[in-house]
Amino acid sequence: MSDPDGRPAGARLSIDGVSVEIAGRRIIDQIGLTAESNVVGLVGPNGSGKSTLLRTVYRMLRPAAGQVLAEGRDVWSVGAREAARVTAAVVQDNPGDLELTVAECVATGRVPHGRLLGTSTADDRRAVERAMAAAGVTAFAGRDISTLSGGERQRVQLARALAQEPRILVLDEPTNHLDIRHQLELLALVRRLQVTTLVTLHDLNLAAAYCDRVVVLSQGSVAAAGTPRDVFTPDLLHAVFGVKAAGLTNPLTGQLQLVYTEGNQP
Amino acid sequence: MTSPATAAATRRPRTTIAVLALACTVAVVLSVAVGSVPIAPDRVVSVIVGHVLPWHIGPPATGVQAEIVWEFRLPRALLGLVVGASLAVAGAVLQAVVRNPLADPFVFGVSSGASVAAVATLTLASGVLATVSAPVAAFAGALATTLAVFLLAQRRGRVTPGRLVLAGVAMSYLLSSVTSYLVLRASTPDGGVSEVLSWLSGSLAAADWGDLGLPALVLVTATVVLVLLARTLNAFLTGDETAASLGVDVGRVRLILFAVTSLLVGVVVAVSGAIGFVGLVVPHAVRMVVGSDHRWVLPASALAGGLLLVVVDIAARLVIAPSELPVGLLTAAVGAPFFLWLLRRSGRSEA
Repeated sequence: MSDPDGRPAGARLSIDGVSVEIAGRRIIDQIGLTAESNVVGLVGPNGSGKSTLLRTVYRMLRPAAGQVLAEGRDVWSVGAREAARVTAAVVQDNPGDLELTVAECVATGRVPHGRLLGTSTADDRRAVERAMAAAGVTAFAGRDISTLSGGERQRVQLARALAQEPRILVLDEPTNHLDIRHQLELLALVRRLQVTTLVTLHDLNLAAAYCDRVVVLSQGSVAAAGTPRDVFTPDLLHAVFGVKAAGLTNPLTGQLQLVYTEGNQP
Repeated sequence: MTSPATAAATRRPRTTIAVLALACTVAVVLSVAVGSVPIAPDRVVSVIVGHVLPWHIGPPATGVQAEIVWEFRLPRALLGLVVGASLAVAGAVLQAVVRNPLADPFVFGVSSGASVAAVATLTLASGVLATVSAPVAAFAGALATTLAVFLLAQRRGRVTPGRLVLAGVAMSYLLSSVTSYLVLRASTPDGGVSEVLSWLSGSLAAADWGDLGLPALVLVTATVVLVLLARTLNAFLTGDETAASLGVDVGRVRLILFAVTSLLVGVVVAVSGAIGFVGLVVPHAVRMVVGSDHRWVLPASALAGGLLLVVVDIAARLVIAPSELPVGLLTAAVGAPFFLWLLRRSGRSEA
């Protein structure tokens, strides 16, 4: 697989014929994709099954059929803690009113590595400090999460995921609620990590700029997969998103830049 | 790099726990010393040491004093310690499990379940019910209610915090109305209403050594298990999805934690009646000092809960001496304003 930043090979994530049913209704149907040492973007309209697919990877939702293989091993048969030592996730969640400090939250990333006794080892402390430094949250280690801005919180969640020392990273809409600078910084940070990443994004231009490959989901199935330039064609965007689109070249980066308007084919 | 916050997080909780442990010891001695027959604290210590160790320190207490200390006041003080600790630990766990600061054992109907069963045995006293003692009935009622709340909150095999709280509150109201009906129905000259009311308000007055064994055993076992699960509890605070991604079997662990807390609460409600507010207030106060890390929250809550109940029980015996108030009445009277004060304060120091 291509490796544009010269990163060492990360773990291989392979989703093989995965289907999910909720209350008898098939939400996603026989999805297959692979990611290895690169950033793979998962895009698609609301309700196309992006978050559902991610849930099968971080073990929130057991697929009705198919397999999720992390480093070649089925995440649903290796055991929860072992799976969490390979795969970490940053998800849309509802943490409620009892807040931890930043350092305490990042330390929960060590839960899958913990022994029965809840004591933290020197390894744990090093991993937490490295993760906080990598995500740039060391400066507010002692603060309550509730006192942080949205961008800072998202970086704390990323630090918590990195403290798991994962070889596969799953991110569900990590740029939601972030201003444009924080969106770019977060995805640039993810790219610098030497971790296989599967990320859902609503903004196709972010996907084009930061993903090596993109997979387009539509109504629970894969509509297209490949490099952003190959996949994000006006025809596909019209078919999947129902918009009129054109691909330009971003004058600042030389990357694909999409523009869209509502309506039918040109 | 060790930031000041990390340093504080490793030092302050230990100090807090040491101070609380010392305060508990002092409070127990004071609780034994205070009463219609005052006994000097050094005598109290000497009697206790005399029973525990094979030699005496200080002047030996007279026979009557020794009996008052050992047979009546010490079991009561220790029961207060155990009951307060159990309620506070249960509250801390439930608040984490449903990620709701308003959760406590009583919100989940545990206390109303215990109350209905106990009041039914006290007032109906016929057929099968007559053969069961109120504490046993209370314990069974607590467990049955917890189970019912958990089942009601379940949908397609999943239990969410919001549904748990709603099911618990609804169950509480339902069972409270049944209790009220039973009390009304029993309002005849010899219907046992005063016994019922005293039990409903919560009291440590009937304590003896026989009441202590089981609650103490459950408290120690449960607290050890919960402290071992402290990091998993911390993971719960990050949300169900994130906890699952951290390798926590959210559904199963939630059920285990629920069972452990209902055991804790059922056992103590059975011996002391419904003592409110300890489980709600103490974990909040503790978090303000030691933070939200359960490795510290749980032991500190146990000590602070025990301390609070022992101190409030001393007050309950002094306020209208030589009579005494049910301790549950005072915990509500003290706890409610304290809780409102907590609400008015902003969260932990943000410095």
